[in-house]
Amino acid sequence: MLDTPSARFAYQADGLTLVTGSPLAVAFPTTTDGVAGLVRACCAIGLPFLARGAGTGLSGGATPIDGCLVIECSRMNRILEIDPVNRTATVQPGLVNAQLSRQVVALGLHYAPDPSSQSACTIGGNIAENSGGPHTLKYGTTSPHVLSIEVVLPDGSICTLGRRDGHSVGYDLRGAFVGSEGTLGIATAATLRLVPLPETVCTLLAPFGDLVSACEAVSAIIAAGIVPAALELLDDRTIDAVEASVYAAGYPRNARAVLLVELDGLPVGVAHERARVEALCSARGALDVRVARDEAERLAFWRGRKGAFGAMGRLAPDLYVHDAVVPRTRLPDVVARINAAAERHGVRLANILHAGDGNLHPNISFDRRDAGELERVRQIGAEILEICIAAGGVLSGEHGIGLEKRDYMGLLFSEADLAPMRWLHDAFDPDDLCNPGKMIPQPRACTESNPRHREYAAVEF
Amino acid sequence: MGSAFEAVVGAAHVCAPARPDLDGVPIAEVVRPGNAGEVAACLALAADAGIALVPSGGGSKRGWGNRSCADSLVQLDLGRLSSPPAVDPDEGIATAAAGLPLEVLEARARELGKTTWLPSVHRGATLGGSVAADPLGPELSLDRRLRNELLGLEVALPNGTLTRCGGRVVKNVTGFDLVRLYCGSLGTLGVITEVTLRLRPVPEQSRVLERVFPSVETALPLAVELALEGGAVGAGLLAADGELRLLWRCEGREAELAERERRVPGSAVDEAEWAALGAVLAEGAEPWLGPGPARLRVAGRPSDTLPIWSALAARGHVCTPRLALPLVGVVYADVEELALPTIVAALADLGYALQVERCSPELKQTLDVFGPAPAVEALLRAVKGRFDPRGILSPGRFVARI
Repeated sequence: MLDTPSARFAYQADGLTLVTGSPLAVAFPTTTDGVAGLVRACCAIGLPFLARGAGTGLSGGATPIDGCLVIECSRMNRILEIDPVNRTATVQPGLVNAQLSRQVVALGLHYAPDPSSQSACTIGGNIAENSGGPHTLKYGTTSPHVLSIEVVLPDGSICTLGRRDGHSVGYDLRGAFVGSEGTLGIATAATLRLVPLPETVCTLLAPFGDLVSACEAVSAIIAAGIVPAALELLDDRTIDAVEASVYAAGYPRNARAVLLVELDGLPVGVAHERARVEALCSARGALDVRVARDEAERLAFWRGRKGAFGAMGRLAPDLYVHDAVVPRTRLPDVVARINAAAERHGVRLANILHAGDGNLHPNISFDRRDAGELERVRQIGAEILEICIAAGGVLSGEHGIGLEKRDYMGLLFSEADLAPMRWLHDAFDPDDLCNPGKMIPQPRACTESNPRHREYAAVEF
Repeated sequence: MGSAFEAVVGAAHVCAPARPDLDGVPIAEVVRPGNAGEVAACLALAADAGIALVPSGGGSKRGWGNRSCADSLVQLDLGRLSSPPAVDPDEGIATAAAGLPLEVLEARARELGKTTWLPSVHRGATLGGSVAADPLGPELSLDRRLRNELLGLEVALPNGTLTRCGGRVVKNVTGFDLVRLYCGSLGTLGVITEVTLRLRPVPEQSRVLERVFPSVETALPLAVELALEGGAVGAGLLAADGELRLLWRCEGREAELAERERRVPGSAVDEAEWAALGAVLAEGAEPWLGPGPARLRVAGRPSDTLPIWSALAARGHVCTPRLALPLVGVVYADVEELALPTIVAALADLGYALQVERCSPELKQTLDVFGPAPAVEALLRAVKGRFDPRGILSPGRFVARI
């Protein structure tokens, strides 16, 4: 247990550093019983608490409320069981995502969800946020890969949601728990699906002279019935940032967009799809189509994409990684509108897109010490959401709602839509002690009557 | 009370039931709303008056679930919610009303070069009913689950509101995942009125392969091999005429299929053989018309398939395993009703998930068709209590008689 000012400072935010809170203390349990004991102690005195993994979340889901207890799960990082026959692994929540795949690669298996932060983020955090990643297009987000979850409920009791065989008995509470942003309880173990490693992987890099052509190539690939493992798009500003950084991947500086396509499967199938993708990209005006000749070149292609967020650290002291989803065919129009808004607001914005899913990450570089710029960042953050919702999109594809977008839920959902979300929450946490105030906006009457909600209502984003 | 519903849906759409009861519980009348707003209004009316409703689609899985604890039921028939689907092949999504038959949606998707991964073995099954019942199908694996294909729902709630969850995009983590909560809830939390789901590319080729085995012990290792090889999109082990036939389906391009067949050889058989698997599954949803065996479904891990089959076969005089889906560890068996409670208890003790899909109304008076209540029963009841505080939606029919 840590309660020094420096410790409390270190845990004041997750990856969304624009919003902070000061916890009472930070606890480091090592067992499920330890977590349950902490939760019961919090319940006994009405102390709010929240679980935290690596703190790499980008929506403020792990931002503490002032005076709460942070239950830090990084010491619960063991793999409890690997079952190669049924292709499952049972792990503790503090296990780092990439560590799991490294441990099972010798069995010809891997854990498919691969957030960009996978070298640091933990399975517990991935479950809380229903994390995605570049390979979500083919393999799905976290939820379909979670079979069962051992949970410490907000009253301190321990239960298992779902079954390790993946069969549901009763309401799919496992499915409801994944992506609940730590508001329904604390995951203390999970049984996860493992997926066979593909026999062949082929990665192509296609630079384009304009973003619209690159988006058209994306649509053409999908329309051809090809399901790539990944279909990523970087705009010219991202290319510039990457190529000027240590993550330089050889992306052509004259390109206005770069499409990264990864195909996997049986060698005969991949060879066929590779030829099709090359032809489709060329037909849509690709300046060139490069195929990674070996694993080193494939990793180099990916180094630029995976390092893009880090590369943007060169542009300004602070980075706001936005996240929204629109119908895939609306991407060119939506990106154009977002870029125009950025210009209007005078902010530096670069786009990374999980284009196959219609998932945008507009990245805004800024300096928080400039109050005017900070305000402009907040304004364009809201405008991006409005643009995406108007295009038929949603608020988040993989980062979650947290504090960042909680008060924008009304853009997408009516009060009637939000009511069942509150019912679900209340069934798990009637006293509202478990990571309170996240994700679901409170009705006005509750905000006025509940002191905890008053505090969160004061949070501006 | 019929007159009250007539005010919502019109007199022409309130009628007497074709079957007078559901598991022995009288059905007072059938109400057929014509749109989602009318569905919500029916729920509001029922909640005000304390009338128990049982939503229905095509009626293809009508017998699933426990006997309702209500004295009588009003059947809310969603068959009129069947307007043509909106299929967007470019986005790879479709939105359709809950009462639309699956085959209509599939036909429209195929016209546009797409398909769905919805289990379609139950004749007349509708989209909303399938989401509510979450049935299995022979093309089932941990990759291909109905719940993973759903993107968004429109749901009428017992408080009379019409709500949306999820969205019309293929990736979404905006708020609690209520879509998964409603899927498989057997109409006990809300009434699904519209579904948005993912479309998939139509495979260039599809092939059904078969091998015949003398025993389950020799057949199942091949099923494991199939799973490890990863090529089969579904597999079924069918007991028939003293033989065990393992059928599996592969999809892809011709060269891929040839490669998979080279690795795991089998005899190519006609699509009709594959349909035989679905026919066995469909038997479990047929209405109970008189004496005969009950249908039990038992599920575990893929490696549990053999122990489950063996445990059922060991009771050979009263229990006959019919079909296994080895990629997902599911076994279906015909069981004599007198032996059913004992067998259900024994398999539940072994930790398997189970559901009696079909049995007599008399047995349902004493037997929970889902087996013993799960450890999270209190949580399930808490959820039900908040969504449906007056208990008007299919009361008693769900797991733990919720």
